[in-house]
Amino acid sequence: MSSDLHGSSQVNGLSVQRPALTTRSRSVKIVIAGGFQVGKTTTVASVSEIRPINTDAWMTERSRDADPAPASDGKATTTVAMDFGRITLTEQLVLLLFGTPGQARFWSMWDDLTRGAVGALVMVDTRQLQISFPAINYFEADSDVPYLVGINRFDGTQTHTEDQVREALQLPDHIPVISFDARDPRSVTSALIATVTHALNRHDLETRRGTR
Amino acid sequence: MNTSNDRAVTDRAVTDHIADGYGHEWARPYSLLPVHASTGQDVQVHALVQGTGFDTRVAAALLPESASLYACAHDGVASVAELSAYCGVPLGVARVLLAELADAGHVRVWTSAAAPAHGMPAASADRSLLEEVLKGLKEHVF
Repeated sequence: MSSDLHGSSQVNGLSVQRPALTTRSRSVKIVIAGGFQVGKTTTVASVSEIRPINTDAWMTERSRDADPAPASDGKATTTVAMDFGRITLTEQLVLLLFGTPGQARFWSMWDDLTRGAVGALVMVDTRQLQISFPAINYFEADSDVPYLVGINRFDGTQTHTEDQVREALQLPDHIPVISFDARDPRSVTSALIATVTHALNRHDLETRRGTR
Repeated sequence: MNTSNDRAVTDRAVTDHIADGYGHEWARPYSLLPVHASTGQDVQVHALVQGTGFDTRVAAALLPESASLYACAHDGVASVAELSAYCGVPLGVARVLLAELADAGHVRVWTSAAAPAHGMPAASADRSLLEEVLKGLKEHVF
């Protein structure tokens, strides 16, 4: 298989673009978190240059009970492990996106997926804010990874303001709240830019405080 | 001396590691494979991997999953998550096997310091790398 910049190859039925990364290349990771069916898979798919690698599986009757989904969405499968996507920023720098599994029973994977991440984008759906409570609690209480909250504008319009969402989630003042459309690559890119900007700001804040 | 007790402890540690990360039904068969003691190199899912030179004798001596990862790793630089997908080896298993391959010197695995080390404040991250990511995203064209 070739490894030139635009070379593609078929592996396991996936058409993959392999970047011309070198031994000097560096990789960074952003985690896309949030509740079940909040739009994480769509977000990763919007910007990934490879077909998002995931382990979608048919839901079983048992998991259907455990993971109630809005019937109107008609979603027959759900992500049971994780989504993974890639954006090659330069030949020397690749950004990897990891969507966390939404269901509580995959909770144990979160530490492994989030460790070493530049930042986390915690997605919320204003129609069902509560499904993202556990994700917010996780980053607030159990993780050092800088996070912000991204409202997924499912229908292209926004029904609640960032401030309303902030209040409903009782977020600390220093946690940014943004809105984006998971289906729109430019919009998702803006959300990623906001995530990295927040990470930089926190970096500078901690440097000033001398909490190294 | 490698006593059977040591071995049992090692086996349990690796099985726990798999079960802890990405266990469930996917990992179960692999927990039965003969596993080797890893020096505990923690292979993160976004770490980059490259082979250190393909050797058919090394490949022939490896278990199928390891051999597959070993071959794939000589195909260019790729992330652990990608190798896992390309080779059809579950991510939690790939992390363990790649750690073994790295310990044996068959592949090189590296992570950058854009993010703080575990338990370290964000200030320990590499600021210039964060800036590079920001610049890259702003200039990225879809």
